[in-house]
Amino acid sequence: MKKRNENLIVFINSVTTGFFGGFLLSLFHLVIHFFNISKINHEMILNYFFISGKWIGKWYGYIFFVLFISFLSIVFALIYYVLFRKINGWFIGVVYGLMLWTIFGLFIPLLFYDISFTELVTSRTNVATICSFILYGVFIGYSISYDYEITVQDKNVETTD
Amino acid sequence: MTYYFVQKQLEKNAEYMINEVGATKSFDLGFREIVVLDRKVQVYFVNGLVDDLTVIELLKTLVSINDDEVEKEKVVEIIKNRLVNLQVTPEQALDKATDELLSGLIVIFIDGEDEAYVVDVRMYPGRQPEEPDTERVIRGSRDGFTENIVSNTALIRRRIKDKGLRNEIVKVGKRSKTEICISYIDSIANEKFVKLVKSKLQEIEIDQIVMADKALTELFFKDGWNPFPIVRYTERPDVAAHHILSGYVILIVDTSPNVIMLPTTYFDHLEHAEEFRQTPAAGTFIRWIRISAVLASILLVPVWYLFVKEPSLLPESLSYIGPKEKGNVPIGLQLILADVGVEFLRMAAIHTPTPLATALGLIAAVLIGDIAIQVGLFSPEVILYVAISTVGFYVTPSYELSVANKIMKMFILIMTIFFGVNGFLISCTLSVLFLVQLKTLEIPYMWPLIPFNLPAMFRFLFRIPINLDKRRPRIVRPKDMYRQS
Repeated sequence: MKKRNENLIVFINSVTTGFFGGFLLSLFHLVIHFFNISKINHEMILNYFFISGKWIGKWYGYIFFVLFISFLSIVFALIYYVLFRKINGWFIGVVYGLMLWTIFGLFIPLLFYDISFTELVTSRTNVATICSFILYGVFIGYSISYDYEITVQDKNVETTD
Repeated sequence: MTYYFVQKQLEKNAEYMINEVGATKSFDLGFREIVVLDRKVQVYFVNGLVDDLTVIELLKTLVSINDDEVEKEKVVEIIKNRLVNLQVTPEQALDKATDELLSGLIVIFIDGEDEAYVVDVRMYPGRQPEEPDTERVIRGSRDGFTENIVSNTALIRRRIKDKGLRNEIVKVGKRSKTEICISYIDSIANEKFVKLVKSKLQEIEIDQIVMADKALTELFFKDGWNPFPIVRYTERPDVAAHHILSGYVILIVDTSPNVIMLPTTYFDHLEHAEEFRQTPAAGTFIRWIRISAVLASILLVPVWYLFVKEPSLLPESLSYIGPKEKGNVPIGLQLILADVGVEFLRMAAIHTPTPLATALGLIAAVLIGDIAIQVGLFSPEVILYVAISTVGFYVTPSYELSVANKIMKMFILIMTIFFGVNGFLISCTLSVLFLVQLKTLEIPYMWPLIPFNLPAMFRFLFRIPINLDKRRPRIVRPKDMYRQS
């Protein structure tokens, strides 16, 4: 019973972590677009998910973007929770971030836009995107793994969180 | 020949003392021989470390035994009874007795007994508790730790009267035999952690740790080239007491006024006692300003350089940033030279004696900067941003962290100079990853940001009122999670 309760705690914490990870990731993308480092607009990202319309350009479009990515990242945090939570350490987070980047930063642009592979990888936009995904992956991954480690695996702790 | 145990013949003990320890050869290590009820008694002491008046009182009582008592068989019990002092221990091993003697306790040998008595009459030369230079507050207590380990533990005990407070002493260093006190509260601190700390201390095999706390940290962690501080130092007893009550373990090193607090995170170094002395709202406000100052100190110069190099990055609203005229020296080189120049000034300021310091400081900063601009070496914007960055470094509450941040900033700056935007992004990511993988005794350095913990992050960003601060920080894994409130 106690073990199930602790797993539930880690589950809820990973939901929270996912939300904040997405929050920070979306803010990061907005900032690097503002400073012209990244050519990816928040409109383009929302277009991936088939959301479009004139209202995106206005100020509430930005807020919608941030909230949308935050809730979406809960899904990815839960995917990490299912797959990798038992692996200790921070490095698996980097791996997870790179995995996400290959899906979102590599496959989708290559399939939907015609940019060559090398141009895509070395462009400034992409370096920013890779870095953001690595940091996002470390954030989500290390948080969930560490939480699992000290809540479930660490038997010396008698917390009633 | 060397003796290991206290001998019954007084002459053999004296021989050990004179040959091995240098009694009467060193002027400050001497002995006094008195006769009590037909038995010889020798009292060994070190001149500078004992309290003279107490020793004289002890000798008086010993000598007065001759007047008052007559039972010669019971000399030892009588002497033991008359050694009026707070701490008297019998000792059979000569080397331990010598260690105590050299720490300032007196050793009493009685002819015909194989036990010596060690009496604690220490009085070390030292200063009174004063407010530390680097941790000033506007309001708050103004006492600070001194070099004396006994008075330091007393300053903490005044603030924590809990019966669970333990101060255990470990001696480190073959020749210096420096005493290190491990302070923790038994019912709060994690047992595994305390055992780990103790075992690591006992593993240290070194000649001496005269540079006290810093050498100890290096031996303890064997961290090599990592510039970031993995322990937190403080000179204030109230900060130390607060951490002990939160479940941290404190190491007090003799002859050092800095105590070491374990474990620690990056965010611990960004907190300062001043925030707790003001109202929660004011404390939160101060904390936010402090955090932005630290961020600015690291990132402002590389980001500004980026905007200078590639004006296309600037959105229209910020297009005034960037020097208007082209200087003689490339901006990157100017930035590095300015940073080095600031380091020169700082080092000079530390070594200058106080009467000259103020005058020289002002003259140096203002005049040199101005002349450098007129000569054409620096452009004014460079000096402005470097100055903001330097002030940001001094806002950092922990001095060790500000030095480490400087190194991080230089790394990011150099990568930005050579590789542009990509260099900036990659170096920032690498720096963050480096911080993430650091661990203090198995606790991640960037907790509670990465790994993320919402309540703890909230508690860091907002200085919450004390009556709402019910839990102890989770990373110390305390036995008792809740503060009673």
